[in-house]
Amino acid sequence: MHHSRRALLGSGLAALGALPFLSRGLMKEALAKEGAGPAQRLIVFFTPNEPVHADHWKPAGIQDGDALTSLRPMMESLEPHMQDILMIGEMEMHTRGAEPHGAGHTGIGHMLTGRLVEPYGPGAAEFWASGASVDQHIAQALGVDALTLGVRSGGANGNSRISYTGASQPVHPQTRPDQAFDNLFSDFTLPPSELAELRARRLSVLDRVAGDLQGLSSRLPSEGAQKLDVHLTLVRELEQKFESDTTLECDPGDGPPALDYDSNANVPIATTHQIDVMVQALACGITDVASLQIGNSGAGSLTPLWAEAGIDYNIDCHTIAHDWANGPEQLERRLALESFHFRQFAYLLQSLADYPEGTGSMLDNTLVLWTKNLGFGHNSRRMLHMLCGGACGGLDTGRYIEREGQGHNKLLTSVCNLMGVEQESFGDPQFGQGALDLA
Amino acid sequence: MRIHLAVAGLLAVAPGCYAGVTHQLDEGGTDDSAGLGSGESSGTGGDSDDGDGESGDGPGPSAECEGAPTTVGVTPMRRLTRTEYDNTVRDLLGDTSAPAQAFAPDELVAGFAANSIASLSKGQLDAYFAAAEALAAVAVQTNWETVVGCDPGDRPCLHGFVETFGRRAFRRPLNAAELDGYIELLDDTADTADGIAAAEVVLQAMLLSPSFLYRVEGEDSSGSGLVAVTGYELASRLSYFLWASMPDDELLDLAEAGMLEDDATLDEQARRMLEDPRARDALEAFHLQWLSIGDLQDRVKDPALFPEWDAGLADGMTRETLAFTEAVIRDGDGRLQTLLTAPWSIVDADLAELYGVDAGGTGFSRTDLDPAERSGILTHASVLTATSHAAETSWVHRGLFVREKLLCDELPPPPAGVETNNVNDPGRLEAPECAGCHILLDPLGQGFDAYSPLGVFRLTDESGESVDGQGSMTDIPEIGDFDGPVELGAGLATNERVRDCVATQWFRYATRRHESEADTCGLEALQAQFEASDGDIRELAVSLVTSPSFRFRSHD
Repeated sequence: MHHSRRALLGSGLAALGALPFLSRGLMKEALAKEGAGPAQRLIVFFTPNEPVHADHWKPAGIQDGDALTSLRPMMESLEPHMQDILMIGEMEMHTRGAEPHGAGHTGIGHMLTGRLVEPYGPGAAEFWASGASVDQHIAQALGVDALTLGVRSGGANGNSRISYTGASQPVHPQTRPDQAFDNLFSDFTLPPSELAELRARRLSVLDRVAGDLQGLSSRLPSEGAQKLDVHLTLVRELEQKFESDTTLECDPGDGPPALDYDSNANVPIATTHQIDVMVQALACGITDVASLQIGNSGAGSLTPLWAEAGIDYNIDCHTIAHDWANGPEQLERRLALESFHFRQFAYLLQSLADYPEGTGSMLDNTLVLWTKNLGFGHNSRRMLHMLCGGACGGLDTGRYIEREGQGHNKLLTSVCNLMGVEQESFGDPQFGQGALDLA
Repeated sequence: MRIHLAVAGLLAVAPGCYAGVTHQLDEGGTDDSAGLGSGESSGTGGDSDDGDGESGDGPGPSAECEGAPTTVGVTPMRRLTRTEYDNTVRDLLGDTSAPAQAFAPDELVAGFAANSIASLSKGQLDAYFAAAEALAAVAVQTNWETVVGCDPGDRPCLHGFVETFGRRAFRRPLNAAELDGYIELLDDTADTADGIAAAEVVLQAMLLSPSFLYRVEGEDSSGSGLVAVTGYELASRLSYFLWASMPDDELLDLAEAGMLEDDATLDEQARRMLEDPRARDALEAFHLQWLSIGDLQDRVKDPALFPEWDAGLADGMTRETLAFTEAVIRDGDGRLQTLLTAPWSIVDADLAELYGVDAGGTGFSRTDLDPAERSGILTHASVLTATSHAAETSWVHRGLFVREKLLCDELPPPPAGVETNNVNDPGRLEAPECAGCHILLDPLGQGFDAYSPLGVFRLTDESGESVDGQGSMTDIPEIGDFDGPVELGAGLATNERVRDCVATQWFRYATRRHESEADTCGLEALQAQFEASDGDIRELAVSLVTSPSFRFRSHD
């Protein structure tokens, strides 16, 4: 099946660089055929707490550069996709040692930004990241609108956000897949004349709002003016979205049903539906960058009473994560929880692999970053990272590489480069320069 | 943008708590090395801890504040919280659909929803947009007379609507450029469509305007340093503090007449507003957040141990605390001591059963509880449930409740690299890297062990062990060892640190920020007034409204 893209009426390839919400699919498809990368799209996948400990994720006896031929039991759901995984072991977050604010969970603000956080109060969660995250940075460079999704992702605080458009500019994830689907696709269901009239009306409203923003900003002291300037930028982006004359060339189907997606009981079904919406949005070319955040840094508000998803404990995930070394029962619980997390990731990889694209599947043309902000205990050493998918030929998967002690900023730089956004370093350069050697 | 805070000083004292230094009582003096941080936060307690809790200078302002020039901390510009948005559209449009419940969560500062730090997120603009369209559509389709009140063909009337409605939506009159802009929008739409569509787009745009969505202050202000808050700004400060909603016409009219910038008028208005039913919304918002009981619906409890736990019970517990605090503050003696010691509450049949008493009446009604078991909010099911795990109580969370909510103590998180577990563990007091801080929490929280994870009074716990129910606060000698929360409550109710902290919590709610160096003297005066009124929370609210932090703004 030929992959679907939104078509821009009457425009040619020359316009590809200029307008937002336009995927670079045509150009990249051509490059992918050459096997040269860059990846067509990026997905970031986050699950809470640590991947237990290296004893439980590192295949027995494996060395740097070895092929991946087996996985630890906790990760067995990924075995069908070993060939699609580049497992990167033993890295660190150098930001952690330098971070004065808070404790173990603050690193979630470093994870995709490569920077120390910006506190606004003494409370452990009273901080925001101090720069753009790699997903939003890449989305901006590509001129697309990143899709930021979450499942029971916590409140508006530093412990609960992974994605940022800038310093103290968190992007709150959409936590309801039915609403996310509507936001992505519902406009396209209107008849063209009605859509045109609606968009004209909306543009006149936004024009008035932009006028208010500019006027007010000029009359306020700098602190307020800065906030309004960010607000104005968002209004301008929304205007551009309404101005672009687009049609949808794929059939997204009906989308997920309305459920109480914010409840603890529905975490597994919410995750499945979020993954479905994400894959659909990417397949339809509405965006090329997406992230999914399950829970938040500690996941204290998630309790895995999810028998239908293969795990059933009446103890919250944060307690399970802390308690694992206290006895065999606790370890078993901990491994069961992390296995559940890996099963969700396996579903994502399988969904991408199942979607035909070009001469292969979406997975061939995608770069997936699997990441956490913790390694073991409350620290960010001996970490596990994974880069998955073909990245249009730019990624050599099916292997394990060990990069002991190297800083995660370098991995973020590599992600940028693999997406065709070339740069020397990402985040604060004092925590790592250059890209990671993935060979 | 970096907010300058007293954070550095706070963190500097914290390491003492880590080093296993327990707070030495017999040292008296000024030892704050336990990292309680109260010296930064509450303006008292950090000075001396010789047991009687006095700040060293007796009544009247401290030496450093006597005759000192007025200073107030910086309040960053904030957006309406979800509750405020919903209440505002209720009062502006008569719309009770509560669209903000679908918005992104509010950012909290000092425990209260503020939305003052992070910039607007893209998804949130989309959510505002959808809400504005929905609200405007309903307004013109079903509420035309109340909201617009014009014949759709009457253009001059519609122009008048822009001005009148705009003043209420923006909480101040539109300036000339704004008026021109909105009338132009109206005229263009009326010319191409009709008057109804025109009013609808004006409503949409106003509901999306920054003058609606943000609590704007300092417009056209050329001052730097300390600036007096203007009439319209005061009207909004008053209404969002005491009603969690927009100002009414009386407030706007007083602002317009320049009569609001006067202590006597502010006092009078504050009292009027406390009597108004809308004050209930602000009291609810304050207590849900101060007591951290806003998410009981989300709590998971062990169904084998607690089969009675469900959404209905969670809702009932929340309602009890809100009804009780309202009964005390609006209808009762308004005193902090009553909140902390009352042997009665407002309960329904399910809660009466939980508390082991007969229901006082039908539905929620005032009911006497066992005075040997119950002491105001300290033993509310809501608080006891929120400070427990699924299957057992939490010494740490119950200890933190008293420390953070009633004493304004800031305890640092566990040091990096130390293994922590989320269970009641006596071993913490043996481990040197844990004991320094946990001595301040665990023995305190243990004093609540006679109350189950749902707040039921019991003599044996979930594993059949008999319950001790003894606790201790080693750093407050006049409390010291105590036998359960009733005895603890009696001690806390007369404790100066608690009284000062509650004043601080109301200060934080009124300003939506942490107190800073610049607030020290203003907060001290507020605490003195709270003491002088014998802990009257209504008087505290009025004192806040006439305090420097309310009357002045400070620019960076």
